[in-house]
Amino acid sequence: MATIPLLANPVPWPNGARCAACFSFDMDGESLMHIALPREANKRVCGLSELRYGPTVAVPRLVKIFAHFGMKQTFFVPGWCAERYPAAVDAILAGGHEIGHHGYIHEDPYTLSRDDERYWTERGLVALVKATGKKPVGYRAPSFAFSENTLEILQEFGFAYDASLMADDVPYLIANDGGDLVELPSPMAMDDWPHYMHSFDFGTTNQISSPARAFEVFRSEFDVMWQHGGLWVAVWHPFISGRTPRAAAMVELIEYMQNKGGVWFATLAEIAAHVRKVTASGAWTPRVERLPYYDASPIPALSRRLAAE
Amino acid sequence: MIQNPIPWPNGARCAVCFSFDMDGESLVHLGYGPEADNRIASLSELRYDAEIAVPRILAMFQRYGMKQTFFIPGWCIEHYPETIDLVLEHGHELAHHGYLHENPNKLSAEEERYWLRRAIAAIVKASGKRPTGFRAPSYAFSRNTMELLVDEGFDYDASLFGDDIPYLLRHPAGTVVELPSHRALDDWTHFMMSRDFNWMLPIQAPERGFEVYRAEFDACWNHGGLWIAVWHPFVSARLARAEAMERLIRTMHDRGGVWFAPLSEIAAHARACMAAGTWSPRVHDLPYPRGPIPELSRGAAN
Ligand SMILES: [Zn+2]
Ligand SMILES: [Zn+2]
Repeated sequence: MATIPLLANPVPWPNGARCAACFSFDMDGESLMHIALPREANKRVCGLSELRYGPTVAVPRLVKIFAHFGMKQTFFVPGWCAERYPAAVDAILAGGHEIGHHGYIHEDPYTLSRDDERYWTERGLVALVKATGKKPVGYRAPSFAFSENTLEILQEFGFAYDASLMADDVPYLIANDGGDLVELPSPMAMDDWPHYMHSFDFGTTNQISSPARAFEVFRSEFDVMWQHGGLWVAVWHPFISGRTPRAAAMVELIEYMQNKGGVWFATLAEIAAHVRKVTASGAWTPRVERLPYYDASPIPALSRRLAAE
Repeated sequence: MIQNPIPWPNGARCAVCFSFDMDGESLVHLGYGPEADNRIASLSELRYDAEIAVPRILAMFQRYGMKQTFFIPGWCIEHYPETIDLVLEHGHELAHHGYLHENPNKLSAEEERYWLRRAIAAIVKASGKRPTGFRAPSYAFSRNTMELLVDEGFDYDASLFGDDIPYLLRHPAGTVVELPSHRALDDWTHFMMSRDFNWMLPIQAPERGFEVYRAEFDACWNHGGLWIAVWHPFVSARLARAEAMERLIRTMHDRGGVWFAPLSEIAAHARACMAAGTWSPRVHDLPYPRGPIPELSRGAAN
């Protein structure tokens, strides 16, 4: 196959690495059930048992696997989960991993007023500071629901990066008049949910792939990032990808990546800091995406169509 | 990968139970009530359960000398006495799966108790003894289920997903051994397609579904886990899948070190290890506090 460079502006990764990789995890725990079904969460014991597997069984397993390989990763933890699962938080921190912000109780910013979104973001922040002793620098919107107000709120609270968006294969900047933020993008294909998640409670009834099929997707994403200098960010959930057969496949993938060589394994905070550094030194120029994308919706071009409805 | 691995009998690497939920036409009656008799194609698909699929499974298990567990709603037990006799003659366990596949998440505690007892009576009548195991219809273990199971003297439940090995459910009134499985091991997600149930997943080739089961088995075998298939005779014992099932059974036997047992024996083994002090399960307290958690209301104190 012709080796046509597919990326317009590959990042100069540290020590000449071919690509950067982070296994990031969203430790959602039962927050998903409480937010989706607040009044009957406690009667859905089976769904709850599946979600509790994340902080209680899977997180210690993941920490052990990454300790074996000497890798540091990023765990996005809703504030409520940090309060409920101090042992999981301690295990993550003891492993040297980063903890990022993932809302307070997985509230969906799309459904919130600006004032409510700010309230829950601050509450999640306070909970993480209390649990970890420091302010998180990274954010991933619950359900990727980055809203029209999110950038300003993240700027107000001094975040360094976001990891919720999908507009490129390499880091880029999201900017408004108030400044900019590093965006560390990853596509839906890198999320474990579409491959494995099947839940009556959430009305998600995907067919469940074998680990081999799902890792075919994750590995092909990695191979192309390695070939072209991109960024590989897994968006996985401990209760899904930390189950034993999938964890075993994860170990195989890590060995595959390490054997291939030239991979910079880092936390998202380290990747964001590297982006700032090479941007400041002039070694690399990121693409900039201005937010909000539109002055308002609906956009004026739709007016004739909407008037006809 | 497992923090508190359980010592399986005779140094086995893992425990395996092919458990079957013989739902029969209960699903159609529950879903359609007075319209059920009009859905003849679906009824025919589900009658395949007791008439064709279960005898086929029993013959296969007999070839491999395996005793397993059948969860059967009380109504099906009453309607298919010959099938039930055959299951019992072959030495398999008959366990509780509701009376008419009613969904406990939709019932009051009183209603749930009524249907639970009615199905126990059907099992006692058919087998001469009370069931020790329960799997909630549709996995819909409710806020009341735990207390009801303790009250009725159940030893284990097999409806939850909270670990890779047995764990203990604890309630002020008593304990129940939880034998967890997972939806990846349910055949419904791989092979079921039904307009009547508004369930429109594409149907996988047997190899694709069994690729998932085999990956689950490999990991269990490597790490000392518990592998419980949650299959439906009318789904998994159709000819092409029954062949794939036999290939998987042969793979497991050839691998060796697998403890095949009915779930009641696995639960009893877990209790014996606890009593002997050779293993400590994770413990999970039920019920959860009622109502929305207070943190959901804005402004609640931290
Ligand atoms: Zn999440
Ligand atoms: Zn059933």
